[in-house]
Amino acid sequence: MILALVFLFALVIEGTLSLIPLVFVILLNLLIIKRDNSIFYIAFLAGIVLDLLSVRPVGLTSAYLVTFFLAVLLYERKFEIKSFFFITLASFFGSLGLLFLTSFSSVIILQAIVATCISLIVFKFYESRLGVL
Amino acid sequence: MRRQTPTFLFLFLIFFSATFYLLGNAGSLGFLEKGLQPVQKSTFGFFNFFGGVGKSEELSRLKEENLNLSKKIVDQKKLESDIAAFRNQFETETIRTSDLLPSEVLGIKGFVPNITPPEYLVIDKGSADNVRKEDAVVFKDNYVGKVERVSIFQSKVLFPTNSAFSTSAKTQTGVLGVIKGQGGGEMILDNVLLSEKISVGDLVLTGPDTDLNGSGASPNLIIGKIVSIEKSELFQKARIKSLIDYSTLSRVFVFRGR
Repeated sequence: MILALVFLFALVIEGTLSLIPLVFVILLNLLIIKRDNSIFYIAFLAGIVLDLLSVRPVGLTSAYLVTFFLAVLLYERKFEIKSFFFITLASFFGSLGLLFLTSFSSVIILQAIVATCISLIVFKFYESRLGVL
Repeated sequence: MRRQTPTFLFLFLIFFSATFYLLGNAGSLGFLEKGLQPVQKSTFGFFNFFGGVGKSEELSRLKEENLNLSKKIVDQKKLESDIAAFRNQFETETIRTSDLLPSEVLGIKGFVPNITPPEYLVIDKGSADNVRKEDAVVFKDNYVGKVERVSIFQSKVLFPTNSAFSTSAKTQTGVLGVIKGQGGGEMILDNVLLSEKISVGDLVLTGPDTDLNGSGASPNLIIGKIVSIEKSELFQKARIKSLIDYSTLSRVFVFRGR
């Protein structure tokens, strides 16, 4: 319930006010921890909403999120993805790619760094709450 | 045991993303935009209210006064040049109310809301209201930005400080240049000839920027004020500060002078 509220809050904030990819980092953490296919549906719908709110080509964010998350699951076959190292890399490069596609900002590297920090905080929260590690 | 990679699900969702992309381009998703607008308005209104709590009324009043005085300077300069050149009525440019489309701001996006300078805003008017790409957006006699992307019921407006922004401009004394956004709330007046004289404190106005379709800015809208000047071998450039606080805008006007 709390997670759903946090996710909705992030969706509305990112769609209306902020350029930090909050939805991406929350969904990435959810995917890595829960490894549930329903994350793909949520990512698809969230991408459509974000594109509509931000006046972007509709479907662009959805396609990116779904593709990136599939790549994460493919990587899972060979390596351990439930680690701080992987979360850091995936959050940074994933955010950078998304911002490169969708943002007009001149500080996308800084935004990707902030997104990575938020992602690590979310992961740490899961770790303490759910004992995922 | 490892789960199967959801390749089929992936292809299914990519297919739907492409479908939404085509529907969006065809203008068939207007009902979704309309449906989401109340959420945007409420969120933006809520944060705009709390963002303005720390700003004193005195400061807002002084800013308002500053805007009005700047407008008077521009009007006076324009009047002087009008008299000097005996311009006929067709050559004098002012914004007519009938050329303006009132629009509500649905969202102002920046790195950190209300802390870092915003990059662009979203308004509740789109192609259904005859808004077109490159149309100018104004507030009083101040230039707010230009429309970068239009959907059925919404438009995205780039601020002049956005790094993707550039437009022709002139100072109040008629010196021509190009305004270029630098990101992070900064913009410069570039490509000013060394032989031209510009000074700190000069107002920078929109230049003739209308395209063949009639989209673009009306001349003589205030973009900002020169705060510093740098000279290179060929050109000089000036750093510009806007007179309006973009993050406090809640209603703007789309200029449709065509």
